[in-house]
Amino acid sequence: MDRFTVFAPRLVEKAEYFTSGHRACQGCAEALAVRLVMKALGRNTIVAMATGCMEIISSPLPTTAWNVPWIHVAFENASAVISGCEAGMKVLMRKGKVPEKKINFVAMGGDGATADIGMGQLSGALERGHDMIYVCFDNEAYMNTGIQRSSSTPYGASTTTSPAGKVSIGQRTQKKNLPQIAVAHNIPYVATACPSFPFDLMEKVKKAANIKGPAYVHILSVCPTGWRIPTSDSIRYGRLAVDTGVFPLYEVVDGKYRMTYEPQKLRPVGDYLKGQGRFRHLKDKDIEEIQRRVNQEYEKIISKCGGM
Amino acid sequence: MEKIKFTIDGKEVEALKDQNVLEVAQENGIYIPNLCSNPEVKSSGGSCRVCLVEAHQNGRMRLVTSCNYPVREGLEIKTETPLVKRIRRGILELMLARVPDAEVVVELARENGIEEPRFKKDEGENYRYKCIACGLCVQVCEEVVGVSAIAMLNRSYDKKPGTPYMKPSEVCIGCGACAYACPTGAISIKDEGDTRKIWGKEFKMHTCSVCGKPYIPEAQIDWIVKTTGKDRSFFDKCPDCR
Repeated sequence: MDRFTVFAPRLVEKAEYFTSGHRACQGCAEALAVRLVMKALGRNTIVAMATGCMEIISSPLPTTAWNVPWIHVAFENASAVISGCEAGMKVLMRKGKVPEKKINFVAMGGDGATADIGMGQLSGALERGHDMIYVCFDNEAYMNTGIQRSSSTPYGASTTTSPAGKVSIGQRTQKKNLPQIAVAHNIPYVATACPSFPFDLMEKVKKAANIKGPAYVHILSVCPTGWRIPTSDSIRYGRLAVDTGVFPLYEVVDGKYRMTYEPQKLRPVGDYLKGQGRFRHLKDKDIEEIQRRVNQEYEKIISKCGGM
Repeated sequence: MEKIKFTIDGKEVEALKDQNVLEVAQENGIYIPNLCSNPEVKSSGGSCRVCLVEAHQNGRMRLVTSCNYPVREGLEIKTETPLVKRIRRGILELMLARVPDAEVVVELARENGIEEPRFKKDEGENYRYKCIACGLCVQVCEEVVGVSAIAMLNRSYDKKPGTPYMKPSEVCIGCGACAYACPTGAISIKDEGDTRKIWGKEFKMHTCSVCGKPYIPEAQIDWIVKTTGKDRSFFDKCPDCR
Protein backbone atom coordinates (compact mmCIF):
# COMPACT_ATOMS: atom_id res chain seq x y z
CA MET A 1 0.00 0.00 0.00
CA ASP A 2 2.88 2.35 0.23
CA ARG A 3 3.61 3.00 -3.39
CA PHE A 4 0.77 5.49 -3.83
CA THR A 5 2.66 8.32 -5.35
CA VAL A 6 0.72 11.32 -6.59
CA PHE A 7 -3.03 10.99 -6.60
CA ALA A 8 -3.93 9.10 -3.45
CA PRO A 9 -2.34 11.73 -1.15
CA ARG A 10 -4.86 14.24 -2.50
CA LEU A 11 -7.65 12.18 -0.97
CA VAL A 12 -6.32 12.32 2.59
CA GLU A 13 -8.45 14.38 4.94
CA LYS A 14 -7.39 18.02 5.12
CA ALA A 15 -8.59 18.73 8.67
CA GLU A 16 -5.64 19.22 11.03
CA TYR A 17 -5.74 18.29 14.71
CA PHE A 18 -2.07 18.99 15.33
CA THR A 19 -1.73 22.35 13.67
CA SER A 20 1.16 24.17 12.11
CA GLY A 21 2.97 26.96 13.92
CA HIS A 22 4.40 24.76 16.66
CA ARG A 23 8.06 25.12 17.56
CA ALA A 24 9.65 21.90 16.38
CA CYS A 25 13.09 21.99 14.76
CA GLN A 26 13.40 22.10 11.01
CA GLY A 27 12.87 18.72 9.43
CA CYS A 28 11.39 17.15 12.55
CA ALA A 29 9.87 13.81 11.53
CA GLU A 30 8.39 13.35 14.98
CA ALA A 31 6.06 16.35 14.54
CA LEU A 32 5.09 14.87 11.19
CA ALA A 33 4.36 11.55 12.86
CA VAL A 34 2.12 13.22 15.47
CA ARG A 35 0.26 15.04 12.72
CA LEU A 36 -0.33 11.84 10.75
CA VAL A 37 -1.44 9.97 13.86
CA MET A 38 -3.96 12.70 14.67
CA LYS A 39 -5.20 12.75 11.08
CA ALA A 40 -5.83 9.02 11.26
CA LEU A 41 -7.63 9.24 14.61
CA GLY A 42 -9.85 12.21 13.86
CA ARG A 43 -11.77 14.52 16.12
CA ASN A 44 -13.14 12.23 18.83
CA THR A 45 -9.83 11.77 20.57
CA ILE A 46 -8.40 12.48 24.00
CA VAL A 47 -4.64 12.66 24.24
CA ALA A 48 -2.45 12.34 27.31
CA MET A 49 1.10 13.25 26.53
CA ALA A 50 4.16 12.59 28.59
CA THR A 51 6.86 15.24 28.89
CA GLY A 52 9.14 15.30 25.91
CA CYS A 53 9.94 17.08 22.68
CA MET A 54 6.38 17.01 21.38
CA GLU A 55 4.89 18.37 24.59
CA ILE A 56 7.43 21.20 24.77
CA ILE A 57 7.09 22.34 21.18
CA SER A 58 3.31 22.09 20.97
CA SER A 59 2.34 24.03 24.09
CA PRO A 60 4.48 27.10 24.86
CA LEU A 61 2.29 28.84 27.43
CA PRO A 62 -0.27 31.10 25.78
CA THR A 63 -0.54 28.93 22.67
CA THR A 64 -1.31 25.36 21.75
CA ALA A 65 -1.05 23.31 18.58
CA TRP A 66 -3.77 20.86 19.60
CA ASN A 67 -7.32 20.86 18.27
CA VAL A 68 -8.41 18.00 20.54
CA PRO A 69 -8.59 17.61 24.35
CA TRP A 70 -5.00 17.24 25.46
CA ILE A 71 -3.44 16.65 28.86
CA HIS A 72 0.19 17.14 29.66
CA VAL A 73 1.31 14.76 32.37
CA ALA A 74 4.62 13.93 33.97
CA PHE A 75 7.21 11.72 32.32
CA GLU A 76 6.11 8.46 33.84
CA ASN A 77 2.33 8.38 33.89
CA ALA A 78 0.84 9.09 30.45
CA SER A 79 -0.51 5.55 30.22
CA ALA A 80 -1.84 5.64 33.78
CA VAL A 81 -3.66 8.95 33.16
CA ILE A 82 -5.24 7.81 29.90
CA SER A 83 -6.43 4.56 31.48
CA GLY A 84 -8.07 6.71 34.18
CA CYS A 85 -9.68 8.86 31.46
CA GLU A 86 -11.02 5.76 29.75
CA ALA A 87 -12.43 4.29 32.95
CA GLY A 88 -13.93 7.66 33.94
CA MET A 89 -15.61 8.25 30.60
CA LYS A 90 -17.03 4.73 30.68
CA VAL A 91 -18.73 5.50 33.98
CA LEU A 92 -19.98 8.91 32.81
CA MET A 93 -21.47 7.31 29.71
CA ARG A 94 -23.14 4.61 31.79
CA LYS A 95 -24.67 7.24 34.07
CA GLY A 96 -25.86 9.22 31.07
CA LYS A 97 -23.84 12.36 31.87
CA VAL A 98 -21.95 12.13 28.58
CA PRO A 99 -23.68 11.01 25.38
CA GLU A 100 -22.57 7.57 24.21
CA LYS A 101 -20.01 7.72 21.45
CA LYS A 102 -16.76 6.18 20.42
CA ILE A 103 -13.79 8.07 21.79
CA ASN A 104 -10.18 7.23 21.03
CA PHE A 105 -8.02 7.35 24.14
CA VAL A 106 -4.43 7.91 23.18
CA ALA A 107 -1.32 8.12 25.32
CA MET A 108 1.77 9.48 23.64
CA GLY A 109 5.31 9.47 24.82
CA GLY A 110 8.83 9.63 23.55
CA ASP A 111 11.24 6.75 23.89
CA GLY A 112 12.46 8.06 27.24
CA ALA A 113 8.93 8.22 28.63
CA THR A 114 8.18 4.75 27.27
CA ALA A 115 11.32 2.66 27.54
CA ASP A 116 12.85 4.14 30.69
CA ILE A 117 10.62 6.15 32.98
CA GLY A 118 7.08 5.06 32.11
CA MET A 119 7.84 1.39 31.54
CA GLY A 120 6.04 0.13 34.64
CA GLN A 121 2.95 2.25 34.14
CA LEU A 122 2.76 1.24 30.47
CA SER A 123 3.01 -2.41 31.42
CA GLY A 124 0.23 -1.93 33.97
CA ALA A 125 -2.07 -0.17 31.54
CA LEU A 126 -1.55 -2.85 28.89
CA GLU A 127 -2.17 -5.59 31.43
CA ARG A 128 -5.42 -4.03 32.73
CA GLY A 129 -6.84 -4.19 29.22
CA HIS A 130 -8.10 -0.61 28.84
CA ASP A 131 -9.49 0.33 25.45
CA MET A 132 -6.62 2.68 24.63
CA ILE A 133 -3.73 3.22 22.26
CA TYR A 134 -0.19 3.88 23.34
CA VAL A 135 1.91 5.60 20.71
CA CYS A 136 5.65 5.74 21.26
CA PHE A 137 7.62 8.24 19.22
CA ASP A 138 11.07 6.78 19.23
CA ASN A 139 13.83 9.23 18.32
CA GLU A 140 16.43 7.16 20.10
CA ALA A 141 17.57 9.57 22.86
CA TYR A 142 16.34 12.34 25.16
CA MET A 143 16.41 14.96 22.44
CA ASN A 144 14.50 17.71 24.19
CA THR A 145 16.99 18.14 27.02
CA GLY A 146 20.00 17.93 24.73
CA ILE A 147 20.56 14.42 23.40
CA GLN A 148 21.15 12.24 26.44
CA ARG A 149 21.18 8.51 25.94
CA SER A 150 18.09 6.44 26.70
CA SER A 151 17.67 2.67 26.74
CA SER A 152 16.32 3.02 23.21
CA THR A 153 19.56 4.46 21.83
CA PRO A 154 21.16 2.02 19.38
CA TYR A 155 24.59 0.47 19.83
CA GLY A 156 27.44 2.76 18.80
CA ALA A 157 25.52 6.05 18.79
CA SER A 158 27.34 9.01 20.25
CA THR A 159 25.26 11.15 22.61
CA THR A 160 26.19 13.74 25.22
CA THR A 161 26.07 11.16 28.03
CA SER A 162 27.64 8.39 25.96
CA PRO A 163 30.25 10.35 24.00
CA ALA A 164 32.41 8.53 21.51
CA GLY A 165 36.15 8.95 21.95
CA LYS A 166 39.39 7.12 22.53
CA VAL A 167 37.98 4.85 25.21
CA SER A 168 34.31 4.52 24.35
CA ILE A 169 32.47 3.60 21.18
CA GLY A 170 29.45 5.62 22.24
CA GLN A 171 26.37 3.78 23.42
CA ARG A 172 27.66 0.42 24.64
CA THR A 173 24.38 -1.47 25.00
CA GLN A 174 21.86 -2.68 22.47
CA LYS A 175 18.57 -0.96 21.79
CA LYS A 176 15.68 -2.13 23.95
CA ASN A 177 13.15 -3.95 21.79
CA LEU A 178 9.94 -2.24 22.94
CA PRO A 179 7.45 -3.71 20.43
CA GLN A 180 8.46 -7.18 21.57
CA ILE A 181 7.89 -6.20 25.20
CA ALA A 182 4.40 -5.03 24.22
CA VAL A 183 3.78 -8.28 22.32
CA ALA A 184 4.72 -10.19 25.45
CA HIS A 185 1.69 -8.64 27.22
CA ASN A 186 -0.55 -10.60 24.83
CA ILE A 187 -2.44 -7.47 23.79
CA PRO A 188 -4.62 -7.49 20.65
CA TYR A 189 -2.55 -5.12 18.52
CA VAL A 190 1.10 -4.14 18.28
CA ALA A 191 2.68 -2.42 15.28
CA THR A 192 5.80 -0.60 14.22
CA ALA A 193 5.57 2.34 11.82
CA CYS A 194 7.57 5.20 10.38
CA PRO A 195 6.38 8.59 9.05
CA SER A 196 8.42 7.99 5.89
CA PHE A 197 5.66 5.49 5.04
CA PRO A 198 2.65 7.73 5.74
CA PHE A 199 -0.15 5.52 4.41
CA ASP A 200 1.15 2.52 6.25
CA LEU A 201 1.35 4.56 9.47
CA MET A 202 -2.18 5.95 9.15
CA GLU A 203 -3.61 2.54 8.35
CA LYS A 204 -1.98 1.02 11.42
CA VAL A 205 -3.20 3.77 13.73
CA LYS A 206 -6.75 3.42 12.35
CA LYS A 207 -6.57 -0.30 12.93
CA ALA A 208 -5.33 0.26 16.49
CA ALA A 209 -8.24 2.62 17.12
CA ASN A 210 -10.83 0.17 15.84
CA ILE A 211 -9.58 -2.78 17.85
CA LYS A 212 -11.12 -3.22 21.29
CA GLY A 213 -8.55 -3.37 24.04
CA PRO A 214 -5.06 -1.96 24.40
CA ALA A 215 -2.94 -1.33 21.31
CA TYR A 216 0.69 -0.30 21.06
CA VAL A 217 2.21 1.53 18.08
CA HIS A 218 5.94 2.10 17.95
CA ILE A 219 6.97 4.88 15.57
CA LEU A 220 10.55 5.54 14.55
CA SER A 221 10.80 9.32 14.25
CA VAL A 222 13.97 10.63 12.73
CA CYS A 223 15.49 13.57 14.62
CA PRO A 224 17.84 15.61 12.42
CA THR A 225 19.13 17.57 15.41
CA GLY A 226 20.09 14.57 17.52
CA TRP A 227 21.11 12.24 14.73
CA ARG A 228 23.25 14.96 13.18
CA ILE A 229 21.88 14.75 9.67
CA PRO A 230 20.83 17.50 7.22
CA THR A 231 17.28 18.67 7.99
CA SER A 232 16.16 17.92 4.45
CA ASP A 233 17.04 14.22 4.79
CA SER A 234 14.83 13.11 7.67
CA ILE A 235 12.29 11.30 5.44
CA ARG A 236 15.13 9.64 3.57
CA TYR A 237 16.71 8.28 6.75
CA GLY A 238 13.38 6.87 7.86
CA ARG A 239 13.16 4.95 4.60
CA LEU A 240 16.77 3.85 4.89
CA ALA A 241 16.14 2.50 8.38
CA VAL A 242 13.38 0.32 6.96
CA ASP A 243 15.21 -0.63 3.76
CA THR A 244 18.34 -1.73 5.63
CA GLY A 245 16.34 -3.82 8.11
CA VAL A 246 17.35 -1.74 11.13
CA PHE A 247 13.69 -1.00 11.79
CA PRO A 248 11.41 -3.60 10.17
CA LEU A 249 7.77 -2.60 9.70
CA TYR A 250 5.42 -5.27 11.02
CA GLU A 251 2.20 -5.69 12.92
CA VAL A 252 1.04 -8.29 15.40
CA VAL A 253 -2.70 -8.94 15.52
CA ASP A 254 -3.69 -11.32 18.32
CA GLY A 255 -0.24 -12.86 18.33
CA LYS A 256 -0.05 -13.29 14.54
CA TYR A 257 2.90 -11.54 12.93
CA ARG A 258 2.71 -9.92 9.51
CA MET A 259 5.34 -7.95 7.61
CA THR A 260 3.66 -4.84 6.19
CA TYR A 261 6.57 -3.72 4.06
CA GLU A 262 9.24 -6.03 2.75
CA PRO A 263 12.16 -4.58 0.87
CA GLN A 264 13.06 -6.85 -2.05
CA LYS A 265 16.66 -6.94 -0.92
CA LEU A 266 18.06 -5.46 2.26
CA ARG A 267 20.49 -2.63 1.71
CA PRO A 268 23.79 -2.77 3.59
CA VAL A 269 23.44 -1.16 7.00
CA GLY A 270 26.37 1.15 6.18
CA ASP A 271 24.06 3.19 3.92
CA TYR A 272 22.04 4.08 6.98
CA LEU A 273 24.92 4.64 9.41
CA LYS A 274 27.41 6.52 7.29
CA GLY A 275 25.49 9.75 6.74
CA GLN A 276 24.68 10.21 10.40
CA GLY A 277 26.93 12.32 12.59
CA ARG A 278 26.17 10.26 15.67
CA PHE A 279 27.69 7.18 13.99
CA ARG A 280 30.53 8.92 12.22
CA HIS A 281 33.27 7.50 14.49
CA LEU A 282 32.35 3.88 13.70
CA LYS A 283 35.03 1.83 11.97
CA ASP A 284 34.33 -0.81 9.31
CA LYS A 285 34.76 -3.52 11.95
CA ASP A 286 32.02 -1.96 14.11
CA ILE A 287 29.70 -1.62 11.13
CA GLU A 288 30.20 -5.31 10.34
CA GLU A 289 29.28 -6.17 13.91
CA ILE A 290 26.14 -4.01 13.68
CA GLN A 291 25.27 -5.62 10.32
CA ARG A 292 25.49 -9.06 11.93
CA ARG A 293 23.17 -7.98 14.75
CA VAL A 294 20.68 -6.40 12.33
CA ASN A 295 20.56 -9.52 10.13
CA GLN A 296 20.05 -11.70 13.17
CA GLU A 297 17.16 -9.57 14.48
CA TYR A 298 15.61 -9.26 11.03
CA GLU A 299 15.64 -13.02 10.50
CA LYS A 300 13.98 -13.47 13.88
CA ILE A 301 11.09 -11.26 12.78
CA ILE A 302 10.86 -12.93 9.37
CA SER A 303 10.69 -16.38 10.94
CA LYS A 304 7.94 -15.17 13.29
CA CYS A 305 5.99 -13.95 10.25
CA GLY A 306 6.00 -17.51 8.92
CA GLY A 307 9.40 -17.66 7.27
CA MET A 308 8.69 -15.84 4.02
CA MET B 1 -18.90 34.02 2.85
CA GLU B 2 -22.25 34.43 4.47
CA LYS B 3 -22.58 32.98 7.97
CA ILE B 4 -25.83 31.36 9.02
CA LYS B 5 -27.25 29.71 12.11
CA PHE B 6 -29.24 26.51 12.35
CA THR B 7 -29.72 23.67 14.81
CA ILE B 8 -28.57 20.04 14.89
CA ASP B 9 -30.22 17.87 17.57
CA GLY B 10 -31.31 21.03 19.38
CA LYS B 11 -27.80 22.48 19.48
CA GLU B 12 -27.39 25.82 17.74
CA VAL B 13 -24.46 25.77 15.34
CA GLU B 14 -22.87 28.30 13.03
CA ALA B 15 -21.81 27.47 9.49
CA LEU B 16 -21.00 28.96 6.12
CA LYS B 17 -23.80 28.98 3.58
CA ASP B 18 -23.71 25.94 1.27
CA GLN B 19 -21.57 23.82 3.55
CA ASN B 20 -23.14 20.40 3.86
CA VAL B 21 -24.86 19.16 6.99
CA LEU B 22 -22.45 16.26 7.59
CA GLU B 23 -19.41 18.52 7.57
CA VAL B 24 -20.96 20.94 10.08
CA ALA B 25 -22.11 18.09 12.31
CA GLN B 26 -18.61 16.63 12.41
CA GLU B 27 -17.08 20.02 13.21
CA ASN B 28 -19.46 20.24 16.16
CA GLY B 29 -18.78 16.75 17.43
CA ILE B 30 -22.08 15.21 16.35
CA TYR B 31 -21.58 11.76 14.87
CA ILE B 32 -23.48 10.78 11.73
CA PRO B 33 -22.46 7.44 10.19
CA ASN B 34 -21.38 7.71 6.55
CA LEU B 35 -19.59 5.63 3.94
CA CYS B 36 -19.61 7.08 0.44
CA SER B 37 -18.69 10.73 0.98
CA ASN B 38 -15.15 12.06 0.88
CA PRO B 39 -14.74 15.78 1.60
CA GLU B 40 -11.87 15.97 -0.90
CA VAL B 41 -14.05 14.74 -3.78
CA LYS B 42 -16.67 17.37 -4.58
CA SER B 43 -19.14 15.21 -6.49
CA SER B 44 -19.08 12.41 -3.90
CA GLY B 45 -21.90 11.47 -1.57
CA GLY B 46 -25.59 10.73 -1.65
CA SER B 47 -25.46 7.12 -2.74
CA CYS B 48 -24.95 4.88 0.27
CA ARG B 49 -27.91 6.50 2.16
CA VAL B 50 -26.43 5.65 5.55
CA CYS B 51 -26.16 9.32 6.57
CA LEU B 52 -29.91 10.02 6.31
CA VAL B 53 -31.23 12.67 8.75
CA GLU B 54 -34.50 14.51 9.28
CA ALA B 55 -34.49 18.07 7.93
CA HIS B 56 -37.26 20.32 9.28
CA GLN B 57 -37.92 23.63 7.54
CA ASN B 58 -40.99 25.83 7.12
CA GLY B 59 -43.08 23.32 9.02
CA ARG B 60 -42.22 20.48 6.66
CA MET B 61 -39.99 17.48 7.22
CA ARG B 62 -37.88 15.63 4.68
CA LEU B 63 -35.43 12.76 4.99
CA VAL B 64 -32.21 13.90 3.33
CA THR B 65 -28.68 12.58 2.93
CA SER B 66 -26.64 14.85 5.18
CA CYS B 67 -23.46 14.49 3.12
CA ASN B 68 -24.77 16.59 0.24
CA TYR B 69 -27.60 18.65 1.77
CA PRO B 70 -26.66 22.36 1.88
CA VAL B 71 -27.37 24.17 5.14
CA ARG B 72 -29.82 27.08 5.23
CA GLU B 73 -30.88 29.66 7.84
CA GLY B 74 -33.42 28.25 10.29
CA LEU B 75 -32.94 24.65 9.26
CA GLU B 76 -33.55 22.07 11.98
CA ILE B 77 -31.66 18.78 11.69
CA LYS B 78 -32.45 15.72 13.79
CA THR B 79 -30.07 12.80 13.60
CA GLU B 80 -31.39 10.29 16.14
CA THR B 81 -35.18 10.20 15.85
CA PRO B 82 -37.00 6.82 15.81
CA LEU B 83 -37.78 7.28 12.09
CA VAL B 84 -34.16 7.92 11.14
CA LYS B 85 -32.99 5.00 13.25
CA ARG B 86 -35.52 2.64 11.70
CA ILE B 87 -34.67 3.59 8.14
CA ARG B 88 -30.93 3.50 8.79
CA ARG B 89 -31.28 0.01 10.21
CA GLY B 90 -33.23 -1.07 7.16
CA ILE B 91 -30.59 0.28 4.80
CA LEU B 92 -27.76 -1.32 6.74
CA GLU B 93 -29.58 -4.64 6.90
CA LEU B 94 -29.99 -4.71 3.12
CA MET B 95 -26.40 -3.62 2.65
CA LEU B 96 -25.15 -6.30 5.02
CA ALA B 97 -27.01 -8.96 3.06
CA ARG B 98 -25.39 -7.66 -0.09
CA VAL B 99 -21.79 -7.42 1.15
CA PRO B 100 -21.43 -9.72 4.18
CA ASP B 101 -17.63 -9.63 3.84
CA ALA B 102 -17.11 -5.88 4.20
CA GLU B 103 -15.74 -5.27 7.71
CA VAL B 104 -16.84 -1.62 7.73
CA VAL B 105 -20.44 -2.51 6.96
CA VAL B 106 -20.47 -5.36 9.49
CA GLU B 107 -19.13 -2.99 12.15
CA LEU B 108 -21.62 -0.24 11.28
CA ALA B 109 -24.50 -2.70 11.33
CA ARG B 110 -23.42 -3.98 14.71
CA GLU B 111 -23.36 -0.42 16.08
CA ASN B 112 -26.98 -0.16 15.00
CA GLY B 113 -27.92 -3.45 16.57
CA ILE B 114 -27.91 -5.79 13.57
CA GLU B 115 -25.94 -9.00 13.92
CA GLU B 116 -27.52 -11.03 11.09
CA PRO B 117 -29.67 -9.68 8.24
CA ARG B 118 -33.14 -11.14 7.78
CA PHE B 119 -32.54 -11.28 4.03
CA LYS B 120 -30.72 -13.92 2.06
CA LYS B 121 -26.99 -13.21 1.87
CA ASP B 122 -25.46 -12.66 -1.53
CA GLU B 123 -23.49 -15.46 -3.14
CA GLY B 124 -22.88 -17.16 -6.46
CA GLU B 125 -23.03 -15.32 -9.77
CA ASN B 126 -24.02 -11.90 -8.53
CA TYR B 127 -21.54 -11.84 -5.68
CA ARG B 128 -19.80 -8.46 -5.48
CA TYR B 129 -17.23 -9.15 -2.76
CA LYS B 130 -17.14 -5.93 -0.65
CA CYS B 131 -18.46 -3.41 -3.18
CA ILE B 132 -21.46 -1.32 -2.10
CA ALA B 133 -21.68 0.32 -5.56
CA CYS B 134 -21.38 3.83 -4.16
CA GLY B 135 -19.39 5.12 -7.14
CA LEU B 136 -16.71 6.93 -5.16
CA CYS B 137 -13.93 5.20 -7.13
CA VAL B 138 -15.43 6.43 -10.40
CA GLN B 139 -15.70 9.99 -9.08
CA VAL B 140 -12.10 9.90 -7.85
CA CYS B 141 -10.84 8.63 -11.20
CA GLU B 142 -12.62 11.42 -13.04
CA GLU B 143 -12.22 14.32 -10.65
CA VAL B 144 -8.92 13.80 -8.85
CA VAL B 145 -6.88 11.78 -11.33
CA GLY B 146 -8.61 12.95 -14.47
CA VAL B 147 -8.38 9.83 -16.64
CA SER B 148 -11.89 8.29 -16.28
CA ALA B 149 -10.66 4.74 -16.69
CA ILE B 150 -13.58 3.23 -14.79
CA ALA B 151 -17.33 3.83 -14.79
CA MET B 152 -20.44 2.35 -13.20
CA LEU B 153 -21.55 -0.56 -15.36
CA ASN B 154 -25.05 -2.03 -15.71
CA ARG B 155 -28.20 -0.98 -13.90
CA SER B 156 -29.99 -1.85 -10.71
CA TYR B 157 -28.97 -5.11 -9.07
CA ASP B 158 -25.98 -5.69 -11.37
CA LYS B 159 -24.55 -2.19 -10.95
CA LYS B 160 -20.83 -2.25 -10.30
CA PRO B 161 -17.73 -0.20 -11.08
CA GLY B 162 -15.39 -1.43 -13.79
CA THR B 163 -13.45 -0.80 -16.94
CA PRO B 164 -15.37 -0.94 -20.26
CA TYR B 165 -16.58 -4.54 -20.88
CA MET B 166 -14.40 -5.52 -17.88
CA LYS B 167 -11.41 -5.72 -20.23
CA PRO B 168 -7.99 -4.26 -19.31
CA SER B 169 -8.33 -0.50 -19.72
CA GLU B 170 -6.19 1.45 -22.14
CA VAL B 171 -6.29 4.72 -20.21
CA CYS B 172 -5.84 3.43 -16.64
CA ILE B 173 -2.53 4.65 -15.22
CA GLY B 174 -2.40 2.28 -12.25
CA CYS B 175 -2.18 5.00 -9.61
CA GLY B 176 -4.36 3.16 -7.10
CA ALA B 177 -6.28 6.25 -5.98
CA CYS B 178 -9.58 4.34 -6.40
CA ALA B 179 -8.34 1.54 -4.13
CA TYR B 180 -7.29 4.08 -1.52
CA ALA B 181 -10.60 5.97 -1.62
CA CYS B 182 -12.84 2.88 -1.50
CA PRO B 183 -14.70 2.99 1.85
CA THR B 184 -14.97 -0.79 2.13
CA GLY B 185 -11.63 -1.87 0.62
CA ALA B 186 -13.25 -3.70 -2.30
CA ILE B 187 -10.74 -2.88 -5.02
CA SER B 188 -7.79 -5.22 -5.15
CA ILE B 189 -4.36 -3.76 -5.85
CA LYS B 190 -1.31 -5.99 -5.78
CA ASP B 191 2.34 -5.07 -6.01
CA GLU B 192 4.67 -7.94 -6.78
CA GLY B 193 8.24 -7.30 -7.77
CA ASP B 194 8.15 -4.71 -10.54
CA THR B 195 4.55 -5.27 -11.60
CA ARG B 196 1.33 -3.89 -10.20
CA LYS B 197 -2.00 -5.56 -10.82
CA ILE B 198 -5.21 -3.54 -10.66
CA TRP B 199 -8.50 -3.77 -12.59
CA GLY B 200 -7.24 -6.92 -14.36
CA LYS B 201 -4.31 -5.14 -15.96
CA GLU B 202 -0.63 -5.51 -15.23
CA PHE B 203 1.49 -2.39 -15.00
CA LYS B 204 5.22 -2.33 -15.27
CA MET B 205 6.76 -0.27 -12.48
CA HIS B 206 9.56 2.16 -13.18
CA THR B 207 12.68 1.25 -11.23
CA CYS B 208 14.93 3.86 -9.66
CA SER B 209 18.23 4.15 -11.49
CA VAL B 210 20.19 4.49 -8.25
CA CYS B 211 18.71 2.06 -5.72
CA GLY B 212 16.85 -0.23 -8.15
CA LYS B 213 13.58 -0.04 -6.24
CA PRO B 214 10.39 -0.08 -8.39
CA TYR B 215 8.36 2.92 -7.29
CA ILE B 216 5.89 4.28 -9.88
CA PRO B 217 3.98 2.71 -12.82
CA GLU B 218 5.36 3.67 -16.24
CA ALA B 219 1.86 4.63 -17.37
CA GLN B 220 1.59 7.13 -14.54
CA ILE B 221 4.82 8.83 -15.61
CA ASP B 222 3.41 9.12 -19.13
CA TRP B 223 0.28 10.74 -17.73
CA ILE B 224 2.15 13.21 -15.49
CA VAL B 225 4.49 14.15 -18.33
CA LYS B 226 1.51 14.68 -20.60
CA THR B 227 -0.53 16.81 -18.19
CA THR B 228 2.15 18.86 -16.47
CA GLY B 229 4.89 19.00 -19.09
CA LYS B 230 7.48 17.93 -16.51
CA ASP B 231 10.73 16.54 -17.84
CA ARG B 232 10.81 12.75 -18.08
CA SER B 233 14.29 12.45 -16.63
CA PHE B 234 12.89 13.74 -13.32
CA PHE B 235 11.42 10.27 -12.73
CA ASP B 236 14.70 8.38 -13.23
CA LYS B 237 15.40 8.45 -9.51
CA CYS B 238 12.98 7.65 -6.71
CA PRO B 239 12.14 10.35 -4.12
CA ASP B 240 14.76 8.94 -1.74
CA CYS B 241 17.62 9.18 -4.21
CA ARG B 242 16.74 12.52 -5.82
